[in-house]
Amino acid sequence: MRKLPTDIRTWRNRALQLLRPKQTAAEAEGRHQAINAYHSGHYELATEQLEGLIANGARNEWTWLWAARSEIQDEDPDWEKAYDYATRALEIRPQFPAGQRLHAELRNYIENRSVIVPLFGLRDRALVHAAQDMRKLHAPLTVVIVTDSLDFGLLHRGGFDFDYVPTPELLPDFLTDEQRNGYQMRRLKAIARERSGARIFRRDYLAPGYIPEEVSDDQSVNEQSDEQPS
Amino acid sequence: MSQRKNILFMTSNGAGLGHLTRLMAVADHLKQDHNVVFFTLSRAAAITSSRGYPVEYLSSRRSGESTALWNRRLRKRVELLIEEYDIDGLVFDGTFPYNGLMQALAKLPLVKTVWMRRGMWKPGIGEHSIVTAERFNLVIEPGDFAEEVDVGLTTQHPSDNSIGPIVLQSREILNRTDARDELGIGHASTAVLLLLGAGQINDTESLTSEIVRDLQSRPETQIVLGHSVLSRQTIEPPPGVQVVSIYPISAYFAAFDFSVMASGYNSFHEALWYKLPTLFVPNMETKTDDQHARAKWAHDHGMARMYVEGQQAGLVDGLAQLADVATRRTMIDRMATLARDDGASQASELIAEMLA
Repeated sequence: MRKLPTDIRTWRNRALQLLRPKQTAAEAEGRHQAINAYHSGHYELATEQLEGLIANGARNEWTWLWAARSEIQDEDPDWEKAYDYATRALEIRPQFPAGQRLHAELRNYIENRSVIVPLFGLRDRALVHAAQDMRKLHAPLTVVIVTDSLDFGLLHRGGFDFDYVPTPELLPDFLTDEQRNGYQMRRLKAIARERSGARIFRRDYLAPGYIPEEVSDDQSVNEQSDEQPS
Repeated sequence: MSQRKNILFMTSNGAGLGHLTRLMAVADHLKQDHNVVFFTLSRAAAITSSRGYPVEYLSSRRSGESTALWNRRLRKRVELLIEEYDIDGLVFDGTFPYNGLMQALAKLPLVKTVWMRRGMWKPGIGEHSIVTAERFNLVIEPGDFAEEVDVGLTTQHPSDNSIGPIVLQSREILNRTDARDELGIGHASTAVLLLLGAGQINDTESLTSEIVRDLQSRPETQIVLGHSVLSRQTIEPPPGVQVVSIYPISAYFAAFDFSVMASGYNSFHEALWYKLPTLFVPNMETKTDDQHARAKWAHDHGMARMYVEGQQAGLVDGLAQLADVATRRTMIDRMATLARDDGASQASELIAEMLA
């Protein structure tokens, strides 16, 4: 005989599922087509299809989530819109792991809750200690460490979100001077853009008593000069 | 000679070093006439730099990170690297061409693309992945000694070209005496190389510990444990067991009488290519790679032995056979009959032709 679930949470979820307004067959079919378009790289088509479903009163949380995902793939995404879609998905089904993940990350994006921290020149324990200090300093913001060390083991084990930019000496010989100039700062800006306008934190070395200096708000990612970070 | 082209070699993360190793083997042939840059999602990026290649890195999707946002970051990064390095061609080695990669490439039609796609996929795996083949200019499937038992999806979607196995050629292959001297292995002992992931060595219940106990009960046996360059875990080996972290370890194969290793593409082909008698222990946890089929093929053809974890008798029996000199001699003779077409050289020619 099939065993009935005993925990109250399972029953609650089942009840909520039953109470939820049912999606129409057209919504299910339309979403299916949109997902196929998305996986084929036809994001504009997917977005168009999903927004059509939303305009017609989409009821299923996956429709809203896929609408958010498609919006993100736009060249110039409307982050607020994507966030609203993810919010709606969670309103329909609060315990929705995929929705919760995307919602949390989009909130970080639109509230500029990430900070890019270059820690160039540091290695081994010194790098990890500095990364730990930066995490404490910027809490509760999300810190993205940018290293020029290829030894990722310690950062990985420390649970850090990190990225890599090569030292100028490791750039290939075939690059022109023009390509080399300002390379690191260009890359930092690109990393910030990839994370939707995260701020770049400027710092000198973490000497005792050092007070970090932050890039001021008026020096937005797109406006900073191409000078090398310290 | 045609103009030097700029080529971006991109790899996915993967469980081991297979993707990076294969592409480095091909790059070694192309670098004379072309400019090569690596872009990897593997934490082992440093091995590429050590071999003299410029390398770029982006972390794989972390747990809790949304797929859609990670793919967007990947797309932006690919676009950036193609622009920064003025890339003419991109070679991707991985079983799943990511959405972010495909979207970036769709916007850059002038960049020629290659999918380096190893075969031996587990049955029923990869149907979403295989259809992306049509979006690449060229699909290259590295040869596999065990391809006659391949029943995966790639057999229904054959690649454009058939080439030999891709094996990274060590820049200096040491002979037995030199390799033993360098590793500190006694010339009279039976030397065994273990490449199973050294992380569990301190766990007495682990497979590695079982193998060590068995081998240490045999006279004059010296055990060398290969510690992955991907691992930062420090290990304390049992007395009498030596630990090495060398890449590529195949340069030192001559030092060993036999080995015990997993049957991933690289280890398997290096062992058979360099005729190192081996007890293969397939990693059954891989998502796509059918290590069991590969190991079984070598076992059935008398070129190696296979042990599937969990079968106690099989382990003792397998190690006993490898410890036998005559059995090893037979394995070496069988391995010598394999055709050794240099897949790396063949792949490099195909890529160069496409870019010309």
